[in-house]
Amino acid sequence: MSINNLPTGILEHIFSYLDNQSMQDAISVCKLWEQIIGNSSKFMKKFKFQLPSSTNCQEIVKFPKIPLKNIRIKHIKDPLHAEFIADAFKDYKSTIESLEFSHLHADNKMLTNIFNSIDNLKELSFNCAIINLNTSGTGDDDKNFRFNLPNLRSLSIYTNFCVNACRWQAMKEDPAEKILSYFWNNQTIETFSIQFYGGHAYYFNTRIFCAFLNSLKNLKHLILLSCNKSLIEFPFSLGLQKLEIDSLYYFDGHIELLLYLKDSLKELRLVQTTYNPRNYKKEKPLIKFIIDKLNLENFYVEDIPIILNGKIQDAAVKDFIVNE
Amino acid sequence: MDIDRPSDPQVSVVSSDGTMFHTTLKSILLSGTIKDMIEHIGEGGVENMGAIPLQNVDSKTLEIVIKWIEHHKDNIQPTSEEIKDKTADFIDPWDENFLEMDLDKLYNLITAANYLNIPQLLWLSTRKIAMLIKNRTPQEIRSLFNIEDDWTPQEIEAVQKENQWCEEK
Repeated sequence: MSINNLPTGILEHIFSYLDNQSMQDAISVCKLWEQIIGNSSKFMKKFKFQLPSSTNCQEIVKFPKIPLKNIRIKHIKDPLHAEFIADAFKDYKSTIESLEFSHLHADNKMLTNIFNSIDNLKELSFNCAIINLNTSGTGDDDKNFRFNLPNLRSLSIYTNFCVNACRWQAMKEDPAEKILSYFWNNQTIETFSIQFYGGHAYYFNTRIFCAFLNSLKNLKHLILLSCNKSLIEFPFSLGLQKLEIDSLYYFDGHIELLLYLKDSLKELRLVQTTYNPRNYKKEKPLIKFIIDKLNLENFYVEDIPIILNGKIQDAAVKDFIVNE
Repeated sequence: MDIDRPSDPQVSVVSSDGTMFHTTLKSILLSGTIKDMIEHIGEGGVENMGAIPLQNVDSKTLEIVIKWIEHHKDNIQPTSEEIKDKTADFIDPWDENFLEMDLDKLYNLITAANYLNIPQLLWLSTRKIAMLIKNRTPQEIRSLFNIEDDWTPQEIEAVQKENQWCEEK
């Protein structure tokens, strides 16, 4: 008996234990192995795709023949890139659920081209992305331009200040803010995360940001990363159930804003905060506020549960509250 | 049928080449296929059911399978769903030692574990093959498994080019 007499399902099983490098070596062993690995949906659930810096799309390799789900694309700069990708995506119209663009410099028409080629996009991330309005279109339409993604549940925007700083200086407008404008009044997004860097927040108009959050009718889960500016100056997202704040430095005076969320908010997570709610003497006002005023089921600080299922977990916090 | 009875009754199985093996009910129930068979016996029960014929397993392989199931009869077996998520590389030294066999025996064991539906044994034996593939060049893999190279140089170049961007996150 030879290994290739084993049923295809078994060979698939064997290949599924291989890491990426070994899988590539296995592809070259013989035609049967190439066929099994190339056609199997078990492999490459996550898929990264980096476009070459040249614009010669003829040289770009074709996608594998498997139902791709999660795709990460780097360096889209040219309309030809977008066209090529839109064309390649047509084979995965209903399977692609998650897309991440990094180092993107595109206009809205290029992205629309890509989005129109897929049906079922649920998660979308932009990482170091600049999207311009297509100026060749009619001006009025562009102002109200929205991406049409009926199944979108999650939107993330990460921006690396260092990379884009020079461009922003010239633009005098925050690229993230521009991206947000294309999702204004979205009815399906449930999870939204945004990362703020120093320079980023400098240009960022907090009032517009909070208004944007309020325009997301279905928003339940908000994640604020590198939140080193007082961003929460205005009431936002009254239906929010879950809030995660990372790198919280200047929260003083804005704590009360959380009161706007008190009817809906069930979970609060503070990560890398300069506040230490377990340092009870110093942070008495904060912890007292959170426990007394908010109706939280779960409250975590650095992944340590302070409140879990509505019960205070931390013995020291309990003592502290009782002794008050 | 009462699987949970305290005593562990004797059960007989017959290999494809007609050899009869005796083992216990508890051991043989590690096989999902046989478990299904036994659950459908109905009247008469395990004691009267006679030897179970296994058309797809020869005596050499059945002997190996029985050695494994008897060793593991008291261990809780993971379901095939749990095995799918398994990433830990820890293998019981007894199993490691047990799997030291030539490739022919291993292929037969894999086929038998697949037919008998013993997820843990299938996982162990297929993983063993995967470990042999890992960190070897295509040529080393071919000579180890005695696989004929059916690519032309042009084809292999195209395939390698096509796949070089595959990069798992």
